[in-house]
Amino acid sequence: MNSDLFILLSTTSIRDFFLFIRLDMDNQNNDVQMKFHYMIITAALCFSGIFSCTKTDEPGALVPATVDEDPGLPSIAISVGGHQRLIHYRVFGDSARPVLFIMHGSLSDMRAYLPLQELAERYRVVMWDQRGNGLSERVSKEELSFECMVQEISRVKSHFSPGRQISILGHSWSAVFVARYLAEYPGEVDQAILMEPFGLKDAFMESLDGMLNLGTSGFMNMMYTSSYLTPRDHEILDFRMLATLRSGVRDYFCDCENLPDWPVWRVGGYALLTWESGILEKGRYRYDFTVGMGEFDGEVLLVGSECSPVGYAFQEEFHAGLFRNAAVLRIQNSGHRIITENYPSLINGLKEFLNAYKQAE
Amino acid sequence: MLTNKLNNNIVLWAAMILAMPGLRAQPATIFRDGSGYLAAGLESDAFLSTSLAYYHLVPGSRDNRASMLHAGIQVPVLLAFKGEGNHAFRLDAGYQWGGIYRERYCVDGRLDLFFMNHSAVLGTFRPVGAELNGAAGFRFRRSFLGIFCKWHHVLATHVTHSDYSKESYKEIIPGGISGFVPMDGWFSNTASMIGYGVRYSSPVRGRMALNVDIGAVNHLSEFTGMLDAMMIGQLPFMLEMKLFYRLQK
Repeated sequence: MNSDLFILLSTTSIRDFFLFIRLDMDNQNNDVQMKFHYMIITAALCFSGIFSCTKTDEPGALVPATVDEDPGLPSIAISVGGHQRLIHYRVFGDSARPVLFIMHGSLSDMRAYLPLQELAERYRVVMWDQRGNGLSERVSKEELSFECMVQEISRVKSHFSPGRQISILGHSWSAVFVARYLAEYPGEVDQAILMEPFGLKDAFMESLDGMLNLGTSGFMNMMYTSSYLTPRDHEILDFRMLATLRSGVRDYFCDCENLPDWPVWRVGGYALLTWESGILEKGRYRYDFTVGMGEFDGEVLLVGSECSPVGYAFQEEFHAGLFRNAAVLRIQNSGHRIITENYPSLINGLKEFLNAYKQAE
Repeated sequence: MLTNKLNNNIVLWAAMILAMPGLRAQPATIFRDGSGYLAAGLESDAFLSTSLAYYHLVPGSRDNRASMLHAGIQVPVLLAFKGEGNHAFRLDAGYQWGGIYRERYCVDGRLDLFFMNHSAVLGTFRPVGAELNGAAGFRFRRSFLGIFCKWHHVLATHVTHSDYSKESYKEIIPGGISGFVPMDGWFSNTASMIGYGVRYSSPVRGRMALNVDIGAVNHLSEFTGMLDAMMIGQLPFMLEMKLFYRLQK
């Protein structure tokens, strides 16, 4: 339709132009009317030119397509918050083995976590892009509530491990959702691994300062980009949010000048904005995710890095005491992106913790 | 047959097209002498941007009316100092006019067309767009104080994806190739913003005059709020200061 409209408008404009010139050649107001007509023709051509451009929400143009746009991607349908949505997932390992969920953090998808499929030697490893993130279907703000994120875990469990306990790993924001899942479904989980959840209570966040570095060139580039790319749709927003992974704004790293790699297919921009605004009230943190966490009596492994503000020291001080049976794993020479910064330490620590490895010994 | 999105585009474009012939020479509020002006400015884009422009007074200005043509360049200097080498700049050209009525009440209008160039981590971007700016207020003995409103719209942006951006399309299908590839080319209507606030203009000394715009910016998007979007560098405020130097007639 775009190309047809362009041709129609262009043809009409050129035809009118020549017709007008012929009729008004002797007109005393020829000059003024000619200028007016030039302006109309120019505007019409520009208008039709705009129509021939690609739209920013065209699937796959700016960012990879989601599962509802690309039927070639592996997906399952789950019902959360009253809506049926498709999620992108991958499964590794024998179906007879105990199930281990691995959940990505915010501004991410499962791509960076794929090396953890190594655990499929003892587990049925299930990874998925959460709704509104990665290559899973984009959803509304209401469907991204914290209650819905916990419900999502429950729905995925019903699909992959009905009637059996799971082990579960969550990183960053997902570690927060896992903590809530433990509180609401304590009997459904055998072991839980929480990799650097931020403060599970607002008071814990008051100890953190200097986490944002707005003086980076990455952030200034993002400011400059704001003048020509406004996030009117998920595609532009996710595309722009991809830049934050290289911006160095979040001071979670050992070396902010040399940021560690973090491979992604597509980030979930709207999800992160929704979650972060959900814990703020008039610019201050106002939330408490700790309610009921003492109900879970299984083993919990808190993982904290050396360099991140929510690393080892933070987890030990604020989170270890929230659980009945928690240990803290310290990852040296690493910031928040533990998987790409010090994978050997992480995988060894996980294997020492997970029951399927302990039982095999 | 027309979608709602198409209708919105038509409305936007119709407003701009109709506005063009309707623009009659209305004078700049304080600039009525000399042949033209050089203007150096500071803006809050990317924390700090500088601009340089030439304003040419259109012959035929009268005591209570004046209009000017202008062309200029704007560069985000902090980015340049950071040594990013991203060749960021903005070129603009346009028409400005203003009128003084009953020696007190002023209106001021401006239409700019702009072209930008910016290379960043996601790729190289070349947007083209237009900006409509209007102000109204009071003229005191020599200065002007009023409110302004501007609409900034990017008609199209040419996108060339970087290697980092293209990397996000790899390995999506295990052992296979995704059917989608990043598209380089022109994307339509990539940004729209409304800015509004207070304007102050005043002669400073000799041939110089100062113009200050300070206010808020609302990015027209359903996905970000006024403050939420600071995470992606979308600040909800703006500041622009320009110092004009009058050239000899």
